[in-house]
Amino acid sequence: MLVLQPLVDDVTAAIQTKNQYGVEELCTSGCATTCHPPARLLADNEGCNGCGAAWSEVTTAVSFDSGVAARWNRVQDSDDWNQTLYSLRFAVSLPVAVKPYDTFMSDRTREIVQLTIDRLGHLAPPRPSAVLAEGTFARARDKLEMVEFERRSRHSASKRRWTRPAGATGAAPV
Amino acid sequence: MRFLFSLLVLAIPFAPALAVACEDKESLRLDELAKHVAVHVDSPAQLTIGSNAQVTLDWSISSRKVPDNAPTYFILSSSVPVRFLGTGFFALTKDAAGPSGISFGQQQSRAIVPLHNPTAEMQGSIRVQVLRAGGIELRWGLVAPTACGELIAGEEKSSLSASAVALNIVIQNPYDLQSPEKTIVSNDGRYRLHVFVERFRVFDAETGLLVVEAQGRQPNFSPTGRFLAAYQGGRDSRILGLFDLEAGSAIGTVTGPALIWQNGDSVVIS
Repeated sequence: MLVLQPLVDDVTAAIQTKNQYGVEELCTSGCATTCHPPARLLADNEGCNGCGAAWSEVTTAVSFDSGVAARWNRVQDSDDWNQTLYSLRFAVSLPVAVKPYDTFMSDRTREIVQLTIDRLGHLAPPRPSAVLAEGTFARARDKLEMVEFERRSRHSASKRRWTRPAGATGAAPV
Repeated sequence: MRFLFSLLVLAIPFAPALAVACEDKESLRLDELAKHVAVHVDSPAQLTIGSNAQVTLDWSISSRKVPDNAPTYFILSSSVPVRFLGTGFFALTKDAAGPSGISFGQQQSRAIVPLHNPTAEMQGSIRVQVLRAGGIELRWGLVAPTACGELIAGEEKSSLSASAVALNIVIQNPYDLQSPEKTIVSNDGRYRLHVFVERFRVFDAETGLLVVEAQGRQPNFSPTGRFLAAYQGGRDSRILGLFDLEAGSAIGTVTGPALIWQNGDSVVIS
């Protein structure tokens, strides 16, 4: 999930370097810890579909009062949520002592100490109840998937109708 | 009875004193901060729409950091639609709700530095890309929401003029032989979008001028009509191209299919 500011341009030249595996980074939609995302992004995520991350549910909120944005992803099989903070269009990270290669962090990630992160936490917006994306790939269903989803739902509903035991009472499921 | 009377006597001077104190305390704090604000507007001698139509506003406040619990903003607003360049601030579109209910420059595009944010710097540079020829007024100031209302200190402005590039003759055939599959009018009625199979065209509804023509599938306007998004690439691509119709150009890509515009299109979440 990306959050960007459509009114701000701050594109820096793309940095093309090879990572520790000798592979040239091609990530354009951005993984903050592994390559340079497009610089105009408000902030970028530390795991995305392209990097193979999978979240069960994702939601996000922006505080226009403080310039702090937050993203939550539900911890698998739990009621807990992991919160990631962004401030003034930068991703926020604790200082990383050893960076294995130059582009380990995006140029839109700021390393700040825990105390400052805690202070940002107090200015962060509350977690909204609405989930923006759900599923293995942490995104909303698109139109084709919805058609397929509804087709399967209808199919299973019709199967339920046909397999209703003889003699059962009550209205057929719709 | 005497007790009641005493209470009344005590209450009378207290109420206005509290109100004055409230206003005075915040005003003093903001005025003190405003004394330490330095702003320099740097503009080319000839501001011409195009590549060099950029104005830079350098600002600094030589003061201690603003406490987290005292919302205070350095706000720059522009009288005409612009694009901002730089970091350390966020931007709001015209008519978007201001921070903490602040109405300073609400009818204009704004760059906002929340000084009470612990990661905010006390100095910075905001570049402004002017998009239209004509007069432009930049206004800035320190603003704080208080119990006594919205306080503004150190308000100043700078008026500039941008000229158009050399005149271009545009040959445009308004009578396209291919009729669009669909025509969409933006919510504000300003733009008309012609949707073709793999491409689209956006026209100014009033003048008929072609604003943007590009490849893309399922294009549509943002709620305010300032921006447009369309799928790019192959059929299965989830990459959405974003266009700023004020600038008449592409501004970037995001990954769909979800695209959520917030606060007057100031922010998009995908």
